[in-house]
Amino acid sequence: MNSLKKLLTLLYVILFIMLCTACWDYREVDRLTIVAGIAIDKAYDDDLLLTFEVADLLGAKSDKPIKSVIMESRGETFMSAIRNILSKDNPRLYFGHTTVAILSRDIAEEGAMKVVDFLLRDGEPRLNINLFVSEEETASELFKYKPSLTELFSVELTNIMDEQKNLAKAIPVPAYKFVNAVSGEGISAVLPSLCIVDNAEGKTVKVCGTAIFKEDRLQGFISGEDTFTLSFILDEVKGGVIVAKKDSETGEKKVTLEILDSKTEIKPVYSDNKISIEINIDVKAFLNENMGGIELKGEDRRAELKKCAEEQMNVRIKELIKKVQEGYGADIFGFGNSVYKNMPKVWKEKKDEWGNIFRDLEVTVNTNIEIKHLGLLLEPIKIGD
Amino acid sequence: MKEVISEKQAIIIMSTYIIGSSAILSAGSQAKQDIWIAYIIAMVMASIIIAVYGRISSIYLGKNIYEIMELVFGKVIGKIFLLSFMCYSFTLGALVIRDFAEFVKIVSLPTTPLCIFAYSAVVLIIWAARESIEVLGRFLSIFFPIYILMISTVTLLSSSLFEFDNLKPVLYDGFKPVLEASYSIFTFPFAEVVVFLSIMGNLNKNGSIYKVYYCSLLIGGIVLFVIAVRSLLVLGVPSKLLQYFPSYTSTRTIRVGTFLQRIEASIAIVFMISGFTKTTVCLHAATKGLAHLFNIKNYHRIAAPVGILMALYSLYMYGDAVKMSEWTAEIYPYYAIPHQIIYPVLVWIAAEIKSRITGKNNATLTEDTGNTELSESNSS
Repeated sequence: MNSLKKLLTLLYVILFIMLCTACWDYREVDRLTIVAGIAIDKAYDDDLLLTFEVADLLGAKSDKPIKSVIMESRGETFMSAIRNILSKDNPRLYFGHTTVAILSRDIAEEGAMKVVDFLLRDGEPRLNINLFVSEEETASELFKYKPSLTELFSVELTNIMDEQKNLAKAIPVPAYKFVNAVSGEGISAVLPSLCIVDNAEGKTVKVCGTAIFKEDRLQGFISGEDTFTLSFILDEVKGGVIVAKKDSETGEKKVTLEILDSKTEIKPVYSDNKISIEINIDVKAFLNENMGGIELKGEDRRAELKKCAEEQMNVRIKELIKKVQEGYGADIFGFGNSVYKNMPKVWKEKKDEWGNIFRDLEVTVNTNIEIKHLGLLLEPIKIGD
Repeated sequence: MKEVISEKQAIIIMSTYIIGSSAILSAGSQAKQDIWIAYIIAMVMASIIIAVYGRISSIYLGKNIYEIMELVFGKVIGKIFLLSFMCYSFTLGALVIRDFAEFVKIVSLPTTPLCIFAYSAVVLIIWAARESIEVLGRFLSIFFPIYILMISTVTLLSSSLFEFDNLKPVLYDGFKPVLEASYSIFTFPFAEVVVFLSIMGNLNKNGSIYKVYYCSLLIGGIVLFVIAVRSLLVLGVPSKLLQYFPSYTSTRTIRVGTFLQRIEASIAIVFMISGFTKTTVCLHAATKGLAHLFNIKNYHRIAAPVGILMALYSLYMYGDAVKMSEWTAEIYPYYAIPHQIIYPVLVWIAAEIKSRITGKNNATLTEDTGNTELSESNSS
């Protein structure tokens, strides 16, 4: 009896030793190679050329800041390129902290979805990873320019995108939203685009504007100013500035309105078998700068300024819509989607010919800018003799 | 010694059981943006069949389904029913273990063999099943509040990502896909509470069986509803449908400032608690059935072998995760019909007739029929 008990105890011990062996997939933190950003290019043959920006943690041990290291790898597919890097350097790349993926133009033109698939399917990358398109020849050359303040380009880029809530000149697009736009009904996808510009100290990378997609293929780019207008239509504006110009006898005068809050409503209208779109934009702003010294005392003067700013906004939005309708024919504004969501029956009929309908879709824009206050100054600064 | 669980404990166990693996797997995704309608319809459907389950237990108060089957159908046919019911519990338990193993493997530990998860999970489950259902009740009375707190925290944190536009348009593809979806939600997880027929006999005398069933349906249903709608609101239709584990992935997108992010482990913990509960209940039911089949008095003793078999079976059920998800989506709704609807209804009808006859014949009331009247007055 006693020996049986001992035997059983031994068996239990052996059993529990198995449970104490910790993780099978255990990876030491100091041996992880953390990828901060990926640039995806096409190699001269049909292979993918991946460039990784990797955070070098070895520097972190000796009080030095984390260094950015660039690595490159090729492969037929995304995953094979990632694994091929093992034959060159020795890191197992870790994608859990990747925040940025930049597609080159050729990749985006061929179809972005074939590379986005990996980012969503694999367990490591997160599905809110920000996607970009490079306006330059390749995507990898963007990594060559060091940001002015932070060490890692990808981290800097993520910070820039976070700051867009005060600027609205780029629309951050996480991977899952890109998928929603590509496969959703009546909407085309957009991605922010990057380019290299001259800066005070050498060159640097800037978020230039927006890349327009049709299905998952790149059609073209629009500028940063147009992106600002686009973010109004897409209701992505949380802040930013509107510059209103006012004509007067002494030439054009500019005032800056800082946006406090903005709300956009896209309303499809169906009458006489014809769809038209009504955009209502409601902006709350305050006057932050009065460059030309426009007199603002009196209700009617302010109303005039307000009207002026609203009018300019309407014109900009209409121009952009026209440009996209004629130039790209891609419904990046999601007008079709608003029809699908609000008038499902109409959408069922018109779905197949939406491409044509969109091209000559009639859009009316109503902007309402509410000027909440005029800053600290009561009156414009007078220029004496 | 008779195991007794209180009404409250029974409600907690059953609610957790209902949430079970549905906390991470998506049932009824064919309804797309109308999944919320599908959930409501499924709950209404479930409330009908639950009345049958409740009635069976309250006709033969204090008896489990195996004893009831033998009482109403006699020894031979009763044992056939028993076998089928036991197999259902056994398979369901194995299925949940497999879900759990696949989830951990796909999400975080890709090179670890599947059996490691199944074995390490089943050790705890066997322990819990051996210690009887009371222990599970006490375990959950500590963890259930934490569990609900986690789900509500995650929901609140993701509220900034909600896009209510994702719910539109309503019924775009008509009513058919919604009904199909609500049926598959009905079979997985709501009507799976049929397994509780083997446990309801342990409810203490003051507890109302119907109250347990309906409260749990309401709690479990609301939690699942919230989880499903949250994933939909965060991810939107095409992205949500793509996901294998939508609630897990939608939690991954939560980012509050720069410091509060990567909290998807909370959903994994939620799933672990509910998966554990569900498997324990299934193992308990299967063990009780087997013990009854072979007239073993102390069913706790055979929990270990049955549990190990369950873990092994879970590994051999399907070749891979894809086959598993196809099976659960396409075949399971039909596989569930006899176990969740036909057999319980047959048992109910037979029990109704039998109890009337014995009630008339026996002038002196036996314990069973005495209880019947008691429960009838309870339920009315």
